[in-house]
Amino acid sequence: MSAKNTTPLNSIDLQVLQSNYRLDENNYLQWALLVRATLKGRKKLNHLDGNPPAKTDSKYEDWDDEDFFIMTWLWNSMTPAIS
Amino acid sequence: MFFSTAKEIWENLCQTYSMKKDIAACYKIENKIFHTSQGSLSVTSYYGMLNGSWIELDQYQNLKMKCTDDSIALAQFLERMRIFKFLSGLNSEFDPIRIQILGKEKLPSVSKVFHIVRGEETRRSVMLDGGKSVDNSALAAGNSVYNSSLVAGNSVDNSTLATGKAPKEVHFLHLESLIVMIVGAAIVRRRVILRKGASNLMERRRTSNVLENSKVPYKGMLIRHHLTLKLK
Repeated sequence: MSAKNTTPLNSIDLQVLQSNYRLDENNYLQWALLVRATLKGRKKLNHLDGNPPAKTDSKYEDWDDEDFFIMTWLWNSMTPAIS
Repeated sequence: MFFSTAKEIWENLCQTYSMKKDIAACYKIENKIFHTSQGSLSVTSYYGMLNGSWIELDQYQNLKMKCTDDSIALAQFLERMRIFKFLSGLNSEFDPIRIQILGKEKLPSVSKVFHIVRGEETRRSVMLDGGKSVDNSALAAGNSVYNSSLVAGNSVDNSTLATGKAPKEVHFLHLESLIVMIVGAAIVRRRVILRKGASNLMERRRTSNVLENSKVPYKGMLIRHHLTLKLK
């Protein structure tokens, strides 16, 4: 499931994390650091700790699409037991 | 997981897995640190293990200091504890370097200590016998200024042991150059006297006199004798 093929709307390319870095029961800390660093590098950290634009905002739709894209990426970064 | 935004997922995960202020998690890590020792690990992976645990512990404990002085004091205290832990878990072959580090007036930082020990490990790995012998560990304790002469003394020891008798060159080295003797233990002392026994009786008597007259504070102490005996 390459992230690249699913990015028609934005320029970010999020590689799926290597399988041994995916979130499981005891590596949250490392995983969180990695995810934060990756998103920060793509200037997308506001999806995790920022607020969404108002629904009336013209940017909202783009933001929402991007957000869903990041959601799938997050899911793909976890072991099945957690996601 | 059913969430509508990435942020919700993130926050939920944070609550579920971050284990902030989780006492059991802290206990688990502390326990792991406590039982960690070098064993068969390399210095690098041993330090990596400890360091990883310390970082995790810092996260979970989530200590917040109110004033700068206190936070500096806490940081120094933690640093010291960690240096002690790191050193105490090292294998016994690093005893000399441990003594050297603890003997410093001001302790270096953890990473500096790691750097020193790692350097020592590398130095050991290039030694032919892997640094296993007693003599080598005594040598490593010596000042680096004396290292060259110490190493020379060591190679003399080894060759003497290997051949069972003192070759001529060894003799030259011992009497003409500045002689460095390592009196690590009674065994070593005896060995030196035995070696001297290969030369004439007068010299043997003189050597043993020097050895007996020297004040040996305790076993394992390094004593350098600058013998000025001349070769006939």
